Amino acid sequence: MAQQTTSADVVIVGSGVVGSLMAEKLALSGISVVILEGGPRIDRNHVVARFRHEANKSDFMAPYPYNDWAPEPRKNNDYFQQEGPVPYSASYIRGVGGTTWHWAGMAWRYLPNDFQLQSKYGVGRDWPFSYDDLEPFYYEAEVKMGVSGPLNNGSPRNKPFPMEPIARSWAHQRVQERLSQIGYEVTTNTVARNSRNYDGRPACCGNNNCMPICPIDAQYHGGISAQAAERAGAKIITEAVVYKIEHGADDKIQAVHYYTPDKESHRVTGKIFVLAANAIETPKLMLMSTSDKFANGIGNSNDMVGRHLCDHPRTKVSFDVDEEIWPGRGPVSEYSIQSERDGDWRGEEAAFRIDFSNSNPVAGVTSKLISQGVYGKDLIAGIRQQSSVTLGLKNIVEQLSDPNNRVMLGDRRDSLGIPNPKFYFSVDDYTRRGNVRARRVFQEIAEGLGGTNIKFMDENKFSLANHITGTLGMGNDRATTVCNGEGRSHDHENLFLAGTGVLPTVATVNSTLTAVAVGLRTAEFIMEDLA
Amino acid sequence: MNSNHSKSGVTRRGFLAASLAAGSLTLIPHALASTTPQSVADSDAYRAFIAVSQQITANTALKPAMAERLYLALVRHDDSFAERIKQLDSFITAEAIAVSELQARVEAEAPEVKDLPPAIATGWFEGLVGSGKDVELIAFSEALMYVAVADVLKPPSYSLGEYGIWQNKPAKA
Ligand SMILES: Cc1cc2nc3c(=O)[nH]c(=O)nc-3n(C[C@H](O)[C@H](O)[C@H](O)COP(=O)(O)OP(=O)(O)OC[C@H]3O[C@@H](n4cnc5c(N)ncnc54)[C@H](O)[C@@H]3O)c2cc1C
Ligand code: SF4
Repeated sequence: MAQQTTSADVVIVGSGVVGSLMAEKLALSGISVVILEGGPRIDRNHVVARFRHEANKSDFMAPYPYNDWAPEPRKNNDYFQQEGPVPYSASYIRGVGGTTWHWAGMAWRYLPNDFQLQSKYGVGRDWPFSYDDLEPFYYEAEVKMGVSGPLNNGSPRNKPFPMEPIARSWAHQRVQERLSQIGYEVTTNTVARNSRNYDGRPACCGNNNCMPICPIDAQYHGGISAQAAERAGAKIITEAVVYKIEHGADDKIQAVHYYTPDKESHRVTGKIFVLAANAIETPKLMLMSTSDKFANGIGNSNDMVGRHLCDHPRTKVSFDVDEEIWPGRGPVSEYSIQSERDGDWRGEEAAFRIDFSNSNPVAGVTSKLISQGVYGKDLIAGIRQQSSVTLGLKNIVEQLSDPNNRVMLGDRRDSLGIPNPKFYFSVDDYTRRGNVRARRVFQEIAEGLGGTNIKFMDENKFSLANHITGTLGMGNDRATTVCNGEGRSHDHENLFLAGTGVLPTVATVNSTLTAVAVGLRTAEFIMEDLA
Repeated sequence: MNSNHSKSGVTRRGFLAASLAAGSLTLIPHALASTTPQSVADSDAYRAFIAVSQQITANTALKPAMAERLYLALVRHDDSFAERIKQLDSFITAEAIAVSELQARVEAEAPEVKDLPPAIATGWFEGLVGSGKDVELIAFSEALMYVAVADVLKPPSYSLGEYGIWQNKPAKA
């Protein structure tokens, strides 16, 4: 195995949206930065072409390249090993730019109370800092990512959104108007999607393909962050799968080691190290990196790495509205209900946000009609009629952190000999009670829209949301968290953790904007260390 | 493949969808049925496939290139397709079966070909042939499910129009 050494002031593992935007900020301040990215470069037009030629269009991973030396969870592959009562599922992309190549662009802020769940409601964990501490970094992230949204969404702001909210589809207008009559306020989503030309990227033109790929970059993604990092002077080494973290006698991290796809090993030294390889691969890497002194893995002297895994174990409903609303025009995630995100009851049952789907329903409707033996004129009429009235909702429900829910090392290995992740995952009564309340709200909403053919998801099944949090949780209590409020490992003073894993609570919104804001805040502590 | 977005093609599809929705089924492409492409070995089977396809698609103006692609894919995925499609066509013709009762009648009286109507419908409407891991895409934007709604929706990844066009009430709503 050849050994070569590269060096930089800051070495970042993972070129996802969080790692790349931190790299850009650090590089712009004059710091030398190397990003080690396990996957290859991803070309947008290539992905769009593959999407159009791909048979399984509902599989958002299908148009992306798969590499057995940097494997990722796929439909029907066995990359994730399971131990708990509820199978944990998530999807992520291992390539330059990471998972936000296929996201829905939802870019919500947490609510102020989300930062003090324990002290306000006696459940979950508190954050080591407040909403107000993060507010300027939220704004910095919103400017970078090009976020549009309406003012009144419960998260106070010091400056207006970079862009006006996205124009509302006919479906959004109708649902909003009708639900206001039964007391539900529908809000246009806060999204990293252009409502005008912004930062060299065009306004959205309604391709309705935000997942798995926006063909015109009207929706922000990590590939754009990686480009920005390189433009600022950061160097990205691709196909560099980091497999070991090395510490010195003073416990400081000295180097990380990576494999090329043909298993050549390289060593990279630096002054400061940032792990931003996502909330599953980062804990995996830390658990793999054992030494005599850190027998349970790097940063894991308290056995907290990978624990407290939280996501949004959602429930769903679908029904037919009593008028033609034609979902599928405009972006895929457009509007939602905020009123259930906080309240006195939050000590007893989970809060949630309700998301309405605006995905083009035609393929699903057609396949169902054909399976019922409907052909000819009836099929054509049925496709039109059912596509025009169908509506799907889900709840982004809070899950409390439980140390038993966690990422571990599995016994299966990939082509480089690196273990697959293994999970223990369960859903407690607090979240289940939230889902019971959500079903009541769904019923009211369905009735308010004259809904028929109402179909609830099985109450013992959960649809997970790819909002992978908690596994690297930050906090003031060194016994139960992995890093402090700066993102600094409790065990290694020059090791910083970043990405959605550091969020100690999952709250009721998609995690990325908060993870980017926290990462940009962490970058300032790194800059201070190097000053 | 299937990336022929000539202006006239799009307009034609829009027109077709509108006229189909209004119930005026006037476009019957007889020329198509009578020509067997050179790539097809069994011209009787091809004619039977076209005849059944016209029923299942309500005589939508089937595009010859897509018909050929779909037929060849169905044959490739099923060795017995050419023989069985003739059987299905004869059964439909002999019994004068209306498309609305096709599936029920085939399941009851000719179960050995009951998989063919859904396979043909899936090919024309969804652009897919085969199942599970072997599923193959033969059309995307030309798939008849998208043609059926072309006046309101575009296939995902194709632009609906300029920013904000989705605010308008769809003409059919
Ligand atoms: C279908 C879908 C829809 C989503 N929609 C939304 C949404 O609307 N809003 C929202 O907020 N979030 C959404 N998410 C979640 C969002 O994608 C993630 O929160 C976000 O990508 C996390 O960013 P990250 O930088 O932490 O990790 P990632 O984006 O996953 O990037 C991690 C990077 O690290 C690299 N890496 C991994 N292991 C190694 C290694 N050993 N060595 C070197 N490099 C490595 C990976 O290749 C990858 O590039 C969605 C996710 C999915 C799957
Ligand atoms: S609707 Fe289309 S243009 Fe707009 S963000 Fe989604 S994919 Fe991009």
